Amino acid sequence: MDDEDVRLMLAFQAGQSGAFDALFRRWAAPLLRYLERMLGDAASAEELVQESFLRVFNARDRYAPDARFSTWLFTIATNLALNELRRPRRRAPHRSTEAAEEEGSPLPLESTEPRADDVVDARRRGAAVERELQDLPERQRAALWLTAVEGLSYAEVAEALEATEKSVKALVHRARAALADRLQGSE
Amino acid sequence: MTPTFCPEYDEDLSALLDGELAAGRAEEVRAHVAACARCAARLAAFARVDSTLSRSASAQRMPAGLEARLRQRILDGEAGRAGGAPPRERVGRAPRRPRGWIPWAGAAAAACAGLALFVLLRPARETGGPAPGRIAESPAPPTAAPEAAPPRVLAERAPEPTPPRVEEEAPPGPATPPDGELSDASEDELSLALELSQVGGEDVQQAVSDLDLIRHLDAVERLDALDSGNRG
Repeated sequence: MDDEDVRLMLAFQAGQSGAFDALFRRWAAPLLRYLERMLGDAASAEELVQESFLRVFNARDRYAPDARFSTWLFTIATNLALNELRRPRRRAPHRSTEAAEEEGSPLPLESTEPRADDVVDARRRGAAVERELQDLPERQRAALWLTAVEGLSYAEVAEALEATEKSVKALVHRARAALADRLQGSE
Repeated sequence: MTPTFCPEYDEDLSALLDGELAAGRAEEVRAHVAACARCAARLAAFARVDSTLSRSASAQRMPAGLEARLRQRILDGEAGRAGGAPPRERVGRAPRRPRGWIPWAGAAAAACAGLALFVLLRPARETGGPAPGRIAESPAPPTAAPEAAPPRVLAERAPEPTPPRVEEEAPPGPATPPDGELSDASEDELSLALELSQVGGEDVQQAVSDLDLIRHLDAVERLDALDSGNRG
């Protein structure tokens, strides 16, 4: 499989610890932003990023390059996230982006771009979509994010969610339609 | 309420964006979108959802120190695993206490092999029981090596059963030095003999005599003590 991540994983398997560092640097940020959307809680997301990579580290001897590394990683993370969501919540709920805006504090996803009308509009739209995303059923949320943002195929998402490709197609569509309606309503 | 799109195409509009339609169906949907303003608007709305989410994602920054925290967790986990399984070769080994004289004694022991054999193999005397003196005073079998247990800090993380104490299952009798090594008592005795022998090769016999004298005096003291105890 011609995949830089797979090459790195095989190098790590062969004992090159630097390859693991490279994998972390490549995938920690995408994993974190996915888990934040799944959990709605930055601290829990960070914890599960660590846990996901810890599992990769510990499973290095059993790794077989029969799938993309990212699919494997997101599958691990999705399982962890779904398990976490089934637990009784013990942490403070995620603060909404709307509340953060009203308080004038930085948004969790604050852009570093200079403020301009179009940027402000984009942020409002983004905040509205993010809120709606949080209200989606967890599997719809996972399916849409993994497909639309992370670029996983339906087959890969199906593997991560232990679902069929047909189900994933429906999950993605429902999620996308709900957010599109929300965006349209906010304009 | 009239839908603002064509339901028979809606799911495939989404799949078209994802590049998940077969070539024939994709062409069909594109042709429909080209002719249907409602579905064209719907497809644009879907695309805007994706671009909005992607923009949010790309603006996100990594928290400082995440990599360092992960590294620490991995190190903790590795250390915990290492502490949970003591190296096999250590299990059941006799304790080896620090022996400052060993570096030179190693060479000297070879030179004084005859003396060592003399000291170690000489039969017990005088009491008919265990030989008196230092050897007889230390008949306890070796216990599990202290280093066989997980290091303290690691043991707190992952307590493990105590490694098997192979020596405890050894039949009672004269302490046999494991792996051809001398017992601690024998080492002490040999050490003393070797120290005495350092004065010169010609004094080895004198050293042996001194050693015999010490052993004899030890035995006398022990017999006196035993005798005093019996009288008391």
